[in-house]
Amino acid sequence: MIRKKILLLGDFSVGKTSLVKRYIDSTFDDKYLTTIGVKISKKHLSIKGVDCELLIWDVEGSTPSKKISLGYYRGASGAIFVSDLTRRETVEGLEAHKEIFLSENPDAKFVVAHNKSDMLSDIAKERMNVDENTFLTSAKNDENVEALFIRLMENMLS
Amino acid sequence: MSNKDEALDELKSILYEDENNVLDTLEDKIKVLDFKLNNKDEILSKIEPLFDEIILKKLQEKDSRSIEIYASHLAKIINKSAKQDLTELSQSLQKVVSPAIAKEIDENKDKMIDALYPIMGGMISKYVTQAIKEMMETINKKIEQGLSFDHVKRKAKSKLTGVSETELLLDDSIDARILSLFVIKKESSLLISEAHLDNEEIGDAHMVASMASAIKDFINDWIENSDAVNEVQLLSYGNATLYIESAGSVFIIAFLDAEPDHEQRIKINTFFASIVKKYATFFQAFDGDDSASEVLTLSMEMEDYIYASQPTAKDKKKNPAKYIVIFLAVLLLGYGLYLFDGWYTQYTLEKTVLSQTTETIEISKQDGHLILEGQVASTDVIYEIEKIMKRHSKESIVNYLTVPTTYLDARFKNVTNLGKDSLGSLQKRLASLEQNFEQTLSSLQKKIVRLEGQLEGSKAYVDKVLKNTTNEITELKEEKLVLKKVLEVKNEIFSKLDKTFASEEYYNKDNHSLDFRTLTLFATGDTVYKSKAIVKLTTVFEKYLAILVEYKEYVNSIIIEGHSDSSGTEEENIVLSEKRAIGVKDYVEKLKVVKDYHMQTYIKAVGYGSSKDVVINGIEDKEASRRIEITFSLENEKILNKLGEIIND
Repeated sequence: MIRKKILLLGDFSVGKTSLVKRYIDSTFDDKYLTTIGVKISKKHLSIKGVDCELLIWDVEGSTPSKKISLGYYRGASGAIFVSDLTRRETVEGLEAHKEIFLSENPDAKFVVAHNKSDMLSDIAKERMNVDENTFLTSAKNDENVEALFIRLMENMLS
Repeated sequence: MSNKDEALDELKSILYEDENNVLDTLEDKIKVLDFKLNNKDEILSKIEPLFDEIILKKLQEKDSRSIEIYASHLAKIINKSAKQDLTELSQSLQKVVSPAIAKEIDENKDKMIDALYPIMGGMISKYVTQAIKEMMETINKKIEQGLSFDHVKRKAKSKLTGVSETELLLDDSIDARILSLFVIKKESSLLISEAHLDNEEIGDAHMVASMASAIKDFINDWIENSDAVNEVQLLSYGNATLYIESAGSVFIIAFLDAEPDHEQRIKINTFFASIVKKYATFFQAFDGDDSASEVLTLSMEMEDYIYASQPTAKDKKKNPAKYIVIFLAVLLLGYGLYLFDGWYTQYTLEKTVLSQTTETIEISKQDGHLILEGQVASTDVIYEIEKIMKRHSKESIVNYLTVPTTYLDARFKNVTNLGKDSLGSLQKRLASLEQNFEQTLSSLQKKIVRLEGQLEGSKAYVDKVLKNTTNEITELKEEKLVLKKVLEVKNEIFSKLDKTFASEEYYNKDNHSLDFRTLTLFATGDTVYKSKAIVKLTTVFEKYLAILVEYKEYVNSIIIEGHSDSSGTEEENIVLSEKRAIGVKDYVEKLKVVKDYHMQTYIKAVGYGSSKDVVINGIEDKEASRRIEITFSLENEKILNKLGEIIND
């Protein structure tokens, strides 16, 4: 069994916790997220016959008054950066999250989830510029959630 | 010396002045060199720097032979130097060693900690022990001022037994039990290995390890913010305690059922130091793959340690003499107090059981064991009472509690009924599944038969269509060949006609016909041809016919077309033109050449009236309109024309 620590990062209310709830096998209570700023969940999956387990650190979005412990970032093999497509500033804010994450884990892999895609029209979705590591996700409609995690695990194993 | 010699010498000195000066300089230099060669100090001052350079170079190149030689001498030198002046040696080494260690720690922090932890851990433990001693002395002083009942009891015990109150305090506290051990990679918070007491396994250990790391990071952040320097080491919640020891690339967590005392912490630290020393390289390389054999061996080692560290009855009685003295002392103090204390404990426990389970039981003490007696409602209550006893008393329990036979009967019946119900339900389910399976199988077989029939029908139809199509293609190919031949014949006839009638006045090259418009064959309105003119027509026609008979088998008809001018009505003109054509036809049918080749049936007469009159510059040439044209048609000409278009395409 290969285990990897991954982080879920993004601004407040972009849907990180909802995204993870769609996918995980087991998790701690939500109160940990509000108390210490992180909630850990677990997901078992098999990639090309290799048994893997993701330990998903759902990290609370930081604010000027509440900084998140850098200890949470350390030793992560990957990250999912989450934005809310209906709030432009959360998409622009991803770069800052990436910068902090990669400064602690320069060799780590990451994927991007533009969440709440169910709020967008099909035309607007087509206009979005996405690459192979960027996904339009909807926790509400269970759209691309599993594909997102699988792609990250594949990247970490490559 | 004669004057002559003197003069010669003087001359020489003048001539060799420069050379003599050079010789003097050289002589001086030789003297200096001679001095330097024979002076030991001078030689050493020159050679020593060279030796230094050579030695430095050899050491930098890590020349094994040089290092071997210097090492043996270096040890002797240091030893000798230490005997002579230890302080100076220490100061000298400190200047070199301290920056080197500082640099190494800065660059390879985790490795240095892994290497130093087994030593430093012990040193720290000694330091902590000393600190504890000092702290205990302070506690003793505080105790002196205390007035609690336990304090009075302990003080009496101390006076009677001669054992210090501090020792009595420590004896009262029993070692906390280690329930689980976790080794966690510090950087990634991934669990490397775990070990537990039986029945104390932690569900989702990997998530718990990660969460424990997160909580530790969270508290450490708070500690740093509050300007303290230590890392969190002890976390307690209710009866559970986490003892966390950080060492190099890992931290190790001991899950205990109470706070460990300092002595126990030292023991745990010593064990931690031993595993960090043994597995340091493995810990540093761990990347989340737990298939390595070290994970299992480490787990087994930790499990062995957990079991070995459990407090036993033997441990508790490791000083029997002390217990005898205490017992005698207590006996002397008063048997009544002893009984009261025992009764009070049992009473408290009975009351706790009653309040939490509503069951009344009897608790007595015998041979150091708590004896439980009485009847309770169910076995679940018995388990609950045992838990209560373990929480409130550290003494071993002998359980004589019983449950009513009616309860056991009811439970047995319940279990039997459940089994029967489950069996009946399973049998029904099985029968239903079998029936479903048979139905599905039958349906599938029918479907297969139907599909096979459809497949056969489809195959026959496809074969038929294929055969028809093949025949049609063959027929079309044959027709195409025939038509192609006809086309070739037509072109051949045209070619011969064009060649034969190249200079013929009455030949129209455009449509390969004979056009007698310039031959005045009929007078206006007359249907009788002029004799001279018909002879001329005959001559040309015979030549025309001679070519056509060569291709008789392809010729459909030879058409004699009659045309009139536009004078009069068109009905009259049609009749007139037809009569003219028939007149010519009748004439030519009688020709010898026509008869010889049996061409009579081929010759047709058609009257066109004035529909094809000759108009030049918008004015009708009436004489030319009154004309006879002779042309021919071939078999399949319509198809031929169409085919010609296709082939040309």
